[in-house]
Amino acid sequence: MDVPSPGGEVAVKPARSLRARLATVLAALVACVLLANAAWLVLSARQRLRERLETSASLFAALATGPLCSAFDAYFDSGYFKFRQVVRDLLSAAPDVTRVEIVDVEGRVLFDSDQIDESISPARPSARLDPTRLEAARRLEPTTLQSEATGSDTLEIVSPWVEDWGRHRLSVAYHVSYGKLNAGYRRYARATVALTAASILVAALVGLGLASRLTRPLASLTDGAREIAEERFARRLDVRTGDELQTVAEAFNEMAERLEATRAERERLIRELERRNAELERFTYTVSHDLRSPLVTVRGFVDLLDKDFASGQAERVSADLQRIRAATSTMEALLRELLELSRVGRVINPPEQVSLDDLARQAIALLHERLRAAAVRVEVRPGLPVVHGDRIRLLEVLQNLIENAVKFRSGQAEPVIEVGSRPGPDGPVVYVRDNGVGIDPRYHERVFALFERLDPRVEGTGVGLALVKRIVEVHGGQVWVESEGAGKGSAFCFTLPSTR
Amino acid sequence: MGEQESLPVLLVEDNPDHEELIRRAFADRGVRVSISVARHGEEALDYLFRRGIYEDARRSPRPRLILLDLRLPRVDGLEVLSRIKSSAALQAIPTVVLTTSESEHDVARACAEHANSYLVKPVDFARFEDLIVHVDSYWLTLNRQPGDGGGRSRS
Repeated sequence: MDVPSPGGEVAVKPARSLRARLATVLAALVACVLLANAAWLVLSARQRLRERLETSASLFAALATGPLCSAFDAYFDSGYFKFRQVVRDLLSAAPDVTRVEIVDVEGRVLFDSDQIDESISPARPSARLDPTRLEAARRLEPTTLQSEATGSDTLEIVSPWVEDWGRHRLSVAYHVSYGKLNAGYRRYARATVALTAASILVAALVGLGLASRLTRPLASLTDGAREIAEERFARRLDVRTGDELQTVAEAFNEMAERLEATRAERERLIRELERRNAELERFTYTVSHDLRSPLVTVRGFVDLLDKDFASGQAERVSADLQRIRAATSTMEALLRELLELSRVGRVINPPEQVSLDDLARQAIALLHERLRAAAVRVEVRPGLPVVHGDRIRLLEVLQNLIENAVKFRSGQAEPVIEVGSRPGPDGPVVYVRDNGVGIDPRYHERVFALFERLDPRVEGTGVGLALVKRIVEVHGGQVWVESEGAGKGSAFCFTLPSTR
Repeated sequence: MGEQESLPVLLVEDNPDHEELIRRAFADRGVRVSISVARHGEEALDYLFRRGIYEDARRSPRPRLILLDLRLPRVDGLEVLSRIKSSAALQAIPTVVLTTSESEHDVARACAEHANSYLVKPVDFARFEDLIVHVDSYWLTLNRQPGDGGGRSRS
């Protein structure tokens, strides 16, 4: 039973297969039972057959003794052939009785069927009985003698003839042969042995078949387990034996299912981790690069100031100082916003039910001065959802998005910002729409990257939208931008899974 | 060749302060160049491929040298580099990456995109000036490129 394993290599055949062991044990058990049964049958049959023979012989003796002796008295001397006929008739009725002797109580043998004379007148045998037989012949009860002494496997029944008036003169000795019985017994024994052997053979074959059927699910279990070991969890076993093996197979399937789920979860986590790792790497790189940039500016202009003084170009001093000041402000803003960004992932205020409508109005109130200065009108559409989340962070999201819309209002004569929501496949989509500069679809992904600034002329550090993305994602939501391109305005949209 | 001629250089730099530092470094060491500035990757590509406002060739003379920052708005510096080096008309122009990034990753990627040189902006301004002088003497003076009679030569 070489099971080719899924990997292609041939499965190692166990040194002692369960199937062979089961078949062997089963066959051995059946053999033991059958052999014991056969032995008992054979041995007891011999005894039973002997007893039956002895009983029937005794019965025969009891019935035949009277007629035999009467016939002996009546015809032996006068009509020998008639007597002979009687003897033959009687003997033919009992095939196991091979010899009949009529003896008298004196120990003389008066007639011996072995010496039947074919002539008309009989010849009297001259033999005399030995003491054992003589004693038997004198008894008034029938006596059974085992004639092992004589060496032949025969039985002798000596039956007395008690005449009507009570005189016991004659006895008849019947010699019963075991020959026929033994022949029958041997046939019986042979048949029994043959039958037993056949039964054992059948039992072995049935055992082998049964063991195969029992072990077939085991083979499929082995296959399945091997596939699992090779991390192929799609395998399910179809064992419908209705017994413990089915239970094992069901447990196996359950295990495979869980392993599959675990692996899926593990792979998801790995992907998540890889994504986070890449993000972190990008973050570190971006930070080191972007913090170095103002440093180059500061140091560069400080060194230039020296030169300015040395060469007496005082008119440059003020401009250079201004650049240094601006660069340090940029650096400070960068550091502050980075700190802010790093907090988003860690410090989460306890989530609560937050009405985005209230939040939008709060954000507008906070930005009141800037909105007034830029002459931007903000409209809050009715129907903004109530969400479950961090109130302060979500306020930052709306504030940043509105601020961003204000920054990129461009030269729009009537800048309008609209905050609203619309139904989406995963719950309501909240949007902040403006009629400002718009964004080329090529940059829709990049706008959310850290320090990404599409227009270097507009002030800012490029952290705002990265912060928005981070907050929305920490809440399990998604954020994206919709814009048909430059000059078409843009809508920043986000979903929050906890949105009701 | 006597009087030094003003060679065209394209500076792709989003930071106006750094632009000023580079201009001063050239000026202070007496190197005469005519610098055109592109503020982001897209503008650099527009300039080089003569699109949009740079359609007129007089506004976009072929630079003898491109100084390229890597982190740029819109189109990233590496993307600009890749487009330059895959263009038959532009690939011969020496393109020197001049950035604040010291990241191994950036160096490797810039080399893979066939940058002619990778230079990190020094914080110290004297060293910044030295760097600019070296760039000038190597790429604008010693280096020859096809299609011109050589750069300026110092006797």
